[in-house]
Amino acid sequence: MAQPDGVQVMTMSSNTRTDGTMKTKTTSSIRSRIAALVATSLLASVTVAAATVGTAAAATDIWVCAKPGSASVADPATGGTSTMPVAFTGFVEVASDLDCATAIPQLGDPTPIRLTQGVTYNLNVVNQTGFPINLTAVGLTGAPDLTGIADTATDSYEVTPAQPGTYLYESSLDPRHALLGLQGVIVVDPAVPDGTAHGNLVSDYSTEQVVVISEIDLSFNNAVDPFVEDLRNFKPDLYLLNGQTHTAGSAIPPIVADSGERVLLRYVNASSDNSTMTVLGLRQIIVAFDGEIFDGSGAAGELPRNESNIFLTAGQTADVIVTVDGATGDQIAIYNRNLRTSATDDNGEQLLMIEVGAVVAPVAPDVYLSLNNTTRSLAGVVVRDEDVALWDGTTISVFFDGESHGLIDVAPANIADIDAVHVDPVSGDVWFSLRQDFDKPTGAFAAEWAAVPDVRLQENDIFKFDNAAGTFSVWLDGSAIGLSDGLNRHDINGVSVDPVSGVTTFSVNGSIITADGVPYMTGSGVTFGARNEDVLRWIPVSGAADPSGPGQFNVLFDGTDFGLGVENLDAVVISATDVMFSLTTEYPNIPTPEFDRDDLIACRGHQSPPLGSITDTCTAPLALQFDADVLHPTNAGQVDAYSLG
Amino acid sequence: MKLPIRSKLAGILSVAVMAGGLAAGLSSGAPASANGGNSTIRCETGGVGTGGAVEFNLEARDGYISFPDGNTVYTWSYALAGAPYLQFPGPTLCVDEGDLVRVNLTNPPHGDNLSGGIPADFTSILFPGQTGVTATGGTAGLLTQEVDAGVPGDMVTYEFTASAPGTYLYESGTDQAVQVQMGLFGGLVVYPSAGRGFVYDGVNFDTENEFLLIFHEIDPGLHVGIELNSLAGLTGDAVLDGYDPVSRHNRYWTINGRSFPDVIAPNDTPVLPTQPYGGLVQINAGDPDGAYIQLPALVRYANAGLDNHPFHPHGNSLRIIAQDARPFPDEIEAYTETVAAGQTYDLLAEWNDVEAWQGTGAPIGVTLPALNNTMFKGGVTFYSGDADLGQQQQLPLDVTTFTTCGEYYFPWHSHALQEIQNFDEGFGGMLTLWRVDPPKEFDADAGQWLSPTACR
Repeated sequence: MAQPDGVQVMTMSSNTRTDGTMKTKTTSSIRSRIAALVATSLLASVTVAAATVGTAAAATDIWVCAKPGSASVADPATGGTSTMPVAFTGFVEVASDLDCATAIPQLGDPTPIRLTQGVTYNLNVVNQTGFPINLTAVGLTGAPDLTGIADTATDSYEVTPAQPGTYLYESSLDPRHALLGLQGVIVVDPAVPDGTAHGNLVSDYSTEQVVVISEIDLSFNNAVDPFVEDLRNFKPDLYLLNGQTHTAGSAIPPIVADSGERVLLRYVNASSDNSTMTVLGLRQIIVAFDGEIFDGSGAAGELPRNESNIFLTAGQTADVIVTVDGATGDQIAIYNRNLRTSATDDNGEQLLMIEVGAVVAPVAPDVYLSLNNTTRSLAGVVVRDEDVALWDGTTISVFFDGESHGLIDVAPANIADIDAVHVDPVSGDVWFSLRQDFDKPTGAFAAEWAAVPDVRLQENDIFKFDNAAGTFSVWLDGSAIGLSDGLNRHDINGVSVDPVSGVTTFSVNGSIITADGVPYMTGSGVTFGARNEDVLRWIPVSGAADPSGPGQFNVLFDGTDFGLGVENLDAVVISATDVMFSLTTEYPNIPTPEFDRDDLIACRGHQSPPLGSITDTCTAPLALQFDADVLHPTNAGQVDAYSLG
Repeated sequence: MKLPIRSKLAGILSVAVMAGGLAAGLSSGAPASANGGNSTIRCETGGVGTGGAVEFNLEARDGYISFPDGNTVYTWSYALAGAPYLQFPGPTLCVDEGDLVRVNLTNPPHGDNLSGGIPADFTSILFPGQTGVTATGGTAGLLTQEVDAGVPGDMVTYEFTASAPGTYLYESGTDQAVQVQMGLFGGLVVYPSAGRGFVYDGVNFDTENEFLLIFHEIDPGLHVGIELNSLAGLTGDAVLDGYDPVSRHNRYWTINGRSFPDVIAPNDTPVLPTQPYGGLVQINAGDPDGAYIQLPALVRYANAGLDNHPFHPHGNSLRIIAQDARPFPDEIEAYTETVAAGQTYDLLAEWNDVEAWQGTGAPIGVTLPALNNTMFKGGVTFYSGDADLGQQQQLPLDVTTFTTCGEYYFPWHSHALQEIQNFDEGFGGMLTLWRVDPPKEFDADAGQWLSPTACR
């Protein structure tokens, strides 16, 4: 793919994971020079040129103006009874360059430029600052733009964000630019919008707030010409969150969230000092630093995902999740524990509250399920064991009809029975495994199964049904990752998938340690063993691009810790915080409430054992997530696969 | 207000205190004796309150602390109710996982003691990292219920269940930028259900070698400003006037409220009555024969300061196992860790056959220069005269060594190096030592493994 002038457009590829952008340097430089020469009168035509380039490259245009602004900040020294005027220069996103004249930049603006992963954009920057600037999106931009954009000129940067996350952008031509306020936030959403920050379960959220940390040196910012100010004298006297100070008499408007909500805080440290963000009374789960995911796989050197105090070096961003817990009206403080302030009777100026709105009972998620080797009429709807049914809390329907995709029983040798399922409720994609081997559908179904190489679908494989394309593929080849000793395959009987990271969580039927105790299950040369009451996790090195490639196993959930021994897990559901499962038999020792063999049982707030500890923990006793009696009270034991949406 | 009389008295006593303080590290021989009377964590365990709560009665107090350069600094901190002095940092509260913890905070009036309550409008305690903290009594503040410092007997009761083991801070939640800087903080340790020999379930350590190092920094300008205002009879917010936080310029950096070399004086040294906690990290090397399994020492960092501090030992790496009382999925071997303001870390420290010392490997075998070719600055040294652990050799006649049994000493300090000085006098500040004693030996009389007799 080439642009009209022959400049190669860099698109997402394996070697541009953190560097998926570049400036269309040749074009831009020429345009800049022309623009500088013809000055303001030709601004519109320059703009047209940029837009034309954008169209030719099928890129989406984003328009950003850089211009002076003024702010009025509550003065901590007077307890907020007066305000302090602050002159600054900032970026502001607009619909088109024509809006720049009226656009008003905001100091410490938390409103992000919102991009989507994998989409190509032209970031068109209209410079009305009075001096040359550039745009550097830290973590997104490739080679630095050392030429810059002349005053009154417009220039364009091509960006194709490779991964979701929160990013800081700034003008980096001169260290004074960022101090003056030429900074902003870019949020990259996952390619498939799914209500998460990073396409993984742990980043699932319902409310989000960008928190920009910055500071102001009044004598520098309000100087007649900041460019002649001596930076050796730079010493902040206002400390800001989102361009505002917390003072005794003037609070920064709170984030309103209901109790139980998962709030995504996107910290952006746009200050020139390191900062430590604390949330009082809530744990912060770190989802990502600088757009890089913490996947919690326990790799050596990985930082904790759960902290009280998030340390952010200057320029760093962090995405963290807090789950709001409180009564209506409660105030939960988010603040910089460095306690920076210019007032004595103060808690520090960088303080922002989460105000608890309603206390909302959690909504029961939709339940996707498959039956075990049977056909039943559930609430009047016939559901077969090769189908995936959807229970929305009141009615049941067939969500995935196996027969319409060739999963048709031919007794006795060829019985199709889905015994593990994962559904992505947004895309409608279905991941599943079969209870026993089954001949790959042919004839009218050959086309949709063409990508599956095997003649016979194996019980230790996980297949993916792409809902948009209507085709099947092998998601996880059980034999390739060691779920087989060549003689015996391990039937995968429960699965939960993270479509982005490729991390696949599952249980198997039967023990995977041989009778003499020699483990034979290997993945990438790592000998491994576990049993059928455990939940296993497979972490592929290449992520979703190659789930069956090299990777690593671990035990996510050790059933022995919960009194399970000979019992067999036959459904696995993973949420951001919980591990859920059902059993092929009734739960032993009959805790209260009693769990039937087809009920979905939840370990809330599951923690894998850290370090040398031997015990998994839940934050509460095992709970009933879904009682299958609502479907068919007299036929316990007929559900063998669950997924929640 | 009786402040003027009290302060003068305190001032006189402080001169004596500071003189002793300087001497504590340098002239009392070995910094601390092994396995007893040393700088291991000193827990306050509290009483049993209603509902089976572990109950602590704390007072906000003012008073004076001293520094090795001879300076005396007016300070606010906490003390157990009825204690003769404030203590800086506040008492280390130790509880067990699952305990219902209750802390009652008061701000006593000034009496004839050296110290009384603090001359603020309000004060309070936060328990960062704890969930479900309730506060009853007092007055609603920005972050929690607050004690009205001007109302005698006003009390706030804080309660929470210690749900997660690890290392925590507690600190003022009122006018934090001033009150935390003035010293209103302390350590809180939650031991796991596995017991007090464990830092987290499954991770045990040598209980004789458990250390809590609380970091802080002091701008004496703030403290003097408040002291002078309180001497002038001002209280409340007025006492804070005259100090500009923007001009905050730290002059002292402390570990457990002391600057080096006071840091390495043992717990409860009588010359530092308001700074009872030492900070010398002392461990035994592993037994090279394997007859005795030497568990690692546990070092807990807690940064109560307003600045971030990069902190590291010399001589060996550490096993970093947790931050903010949350265990890492896997431990990290490292030596420098930036402890950000408010953060805590848990680390395991070991010394096993490092550099093939006399244990299973060959002795280090350094050829020493002749005695008449050596000199030691100031005539004092932490060197034993021999490169090998547990060995002592002759030193020049005019040299005093602080070693008792051929132990090793290494610096363990903030690597923001301007922080290891006392008002421009170095070495000082946020610096302690790591003392490595030879492996424990079986003491037949005591029937247990103990440090070599010469080290005790």
